[in-house]
Amino acid sequence: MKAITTTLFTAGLLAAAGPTWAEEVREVRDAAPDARIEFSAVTGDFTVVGHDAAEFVLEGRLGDDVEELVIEGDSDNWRIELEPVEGNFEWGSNHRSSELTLYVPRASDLELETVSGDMSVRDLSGPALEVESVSGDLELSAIDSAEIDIQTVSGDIQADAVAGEESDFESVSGDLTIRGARGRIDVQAVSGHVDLEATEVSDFESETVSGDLKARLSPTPGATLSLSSHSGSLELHLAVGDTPRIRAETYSGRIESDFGEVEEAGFGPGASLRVDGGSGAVEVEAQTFSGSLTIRRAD
Amino acid sequence: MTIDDRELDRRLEALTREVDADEALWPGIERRLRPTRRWPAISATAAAVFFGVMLASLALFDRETSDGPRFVQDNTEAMRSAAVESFAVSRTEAAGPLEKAWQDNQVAIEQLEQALQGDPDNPLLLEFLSEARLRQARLIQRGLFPPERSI
Repeated sequence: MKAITTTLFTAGLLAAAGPTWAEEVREVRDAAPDARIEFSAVTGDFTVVGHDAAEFVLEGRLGDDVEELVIEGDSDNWRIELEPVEGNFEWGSNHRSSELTLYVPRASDLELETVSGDMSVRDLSGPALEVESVSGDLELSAIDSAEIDIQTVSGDIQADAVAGEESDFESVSGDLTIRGARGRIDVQAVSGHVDLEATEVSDFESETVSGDLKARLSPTPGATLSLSSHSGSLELHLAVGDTPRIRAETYSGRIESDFGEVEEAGFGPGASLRVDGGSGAVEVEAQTFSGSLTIRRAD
Repeated sequence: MTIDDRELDRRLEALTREVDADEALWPGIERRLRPTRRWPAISATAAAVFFGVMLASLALFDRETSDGPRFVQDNTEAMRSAAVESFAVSRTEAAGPLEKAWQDNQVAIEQLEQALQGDPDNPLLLEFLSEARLRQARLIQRGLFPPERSI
């Protein structure tokens, strides 16, 4: 195992020294085309880009909140970590955060984590991509990985042309904007809003609490679409030739649909919708407690 | 008045357990039963949920449900001393949004429980309630262990 540690000044030393100090870095290591690479950092601006070379390149500037840059592993398995300065690091006007670009083999198996740092990830086609942040925003584009797992707490997720056989997107309060997804898709949010556009969808599940969801889906024949929300509205636009099989129900919300006849509850609030599609029809199950539910045929 | 877990279990137990599936459903069922690569993630999630449920049960045993967010904070504080630096940074950053989400979800639970008082065997409400309680456990788990595995 090779290891390199670049030790930086501590925050206290920096404060004593007066002027801001941050280190320019350029680290290059051999990496197998399908290497597993883990990258983690607390804060900063990070860009991760797939390239065709059998190596990874980390270049840019380390922030003065970084205690150590740790790189360890071998060409099949690398771990890159920006260890933070210990104690309560005080950000001032003179301090600079990390700005780094990490180039990795396009087919890498990637695990990327940040706390408050923003991260942009693009041009990847490895077996798996896992990206997690707490409050940092995540931007992803041109991703074609078998398994995609994107999670934030309060950060927003913006995904363009992010397609996997199996894709999980999850946030708590961050908003999710997803374009060009396909395959099996799972979306979860509490108060975050979801705006999704996907094609060749074979399986779709969504769960929200108060966040609204708008989905424009092109499902494959026999696809299963399951949507659930407590008080958030659900708006589903379906690009289908045949009539889908629909089981939709709301306890106290409203249902509007281009398919079938909505049945209002006999007494009290609530409504339901049952549509029997033919053999091999797309199956839709949608439920809300009080959120409105709209199912439209996409143009 | 709230519905305790035993009462919820009793009502779920009373629901019809067997129903002939529509033939049109079988292709979907077959597809769902096929083995996938998701099992490790599902197992990890199940373990996390179990842990969360255990913590939530302990808290709910002694406290009013309205103390829930405080419970999250208390446990977060209790573990802080043993945490490494970045772990604490990560958890602190996540605490606010997660507590807010916990409160939002708690409101949802109270709305469902209120609705169940007037419609006690409504399967939609029971399903929503069980999902909302599992979600609370997941939020607690995320509050205790936000993304920080290798940080």
